[in-house]
Amino acid sequence: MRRLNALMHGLLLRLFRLLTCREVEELSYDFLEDRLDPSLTRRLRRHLAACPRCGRFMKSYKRTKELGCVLKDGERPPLDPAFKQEMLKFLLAERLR
Amino acid sequence: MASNHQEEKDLLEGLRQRREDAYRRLVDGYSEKLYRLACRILRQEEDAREVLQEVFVKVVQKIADFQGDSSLYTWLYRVTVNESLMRKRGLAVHKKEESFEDLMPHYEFGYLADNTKDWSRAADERFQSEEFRDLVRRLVDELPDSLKTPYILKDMEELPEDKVCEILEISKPTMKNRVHRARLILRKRIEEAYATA
Repeated sequence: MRRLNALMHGLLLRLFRLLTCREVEELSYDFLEDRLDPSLTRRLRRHLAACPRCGRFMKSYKRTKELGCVLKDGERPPLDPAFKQEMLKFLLAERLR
Repeated sequence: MASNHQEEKDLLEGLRQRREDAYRRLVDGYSEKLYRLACRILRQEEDAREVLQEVFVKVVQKIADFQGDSSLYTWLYRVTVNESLMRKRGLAVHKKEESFEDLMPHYEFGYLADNTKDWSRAADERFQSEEFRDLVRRLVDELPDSLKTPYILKDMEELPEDKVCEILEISKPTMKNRVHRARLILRKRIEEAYATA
């Protein structure tokens, strides 16, 4: 039954000249970089509006991308200045070897 | 950080002449950034500090051989990534290579067969908690190094794509493919974590 649904969905996508779900996934990186040409962007948006699974996929994929920079907040305390000083002393000593 | 081309040239010249002020500028200008990068790869502050020291020693030892094919900044990042990965491999207990294929989307006739969930709004609320951030950091850490490092440089360090390629010495299609696969794995893992929460 699932395969039949998939087949029907695939045929409908082809019939209305929409991108396939696989194509949407393959384009998602460039889509978020805003690097697709306008006609491809329109076709991708039409697919997202017609396919709930891909709509959900794209929202969570976009959020995953954004997580990277949010993760940086409160990550770790900066380096101890005393350690930096020690390291500099060590490098200066190495210089003379 | 010495982003200006002339400043970087002066710094390089100073390091080649082994001038104290250049060493000081190197440590002041780059240590924080390189330490954070090493922490992201290693997740251990002590190991990251040791890597940082090794990076600087290597840089001052090899500065005479540095041809300037890339910028000093790119070179420092590359040495930090390589040293961190080497240390990580040295520390790692050998474990069986995990297959991530199950975490990739599945298609039938080009149609997405997985019943995907949108956890993005829930994440907005949960993201305030340190517990959730720790979970995501752990998931990033569990990525294979070949995907984790491009992801860290692109999505966490927010470096331009060209810089990421230069640091890792990989082509742009390879870099894009790796970052994309890292995001797909993380997306799926977070979805699973939400499902079991």
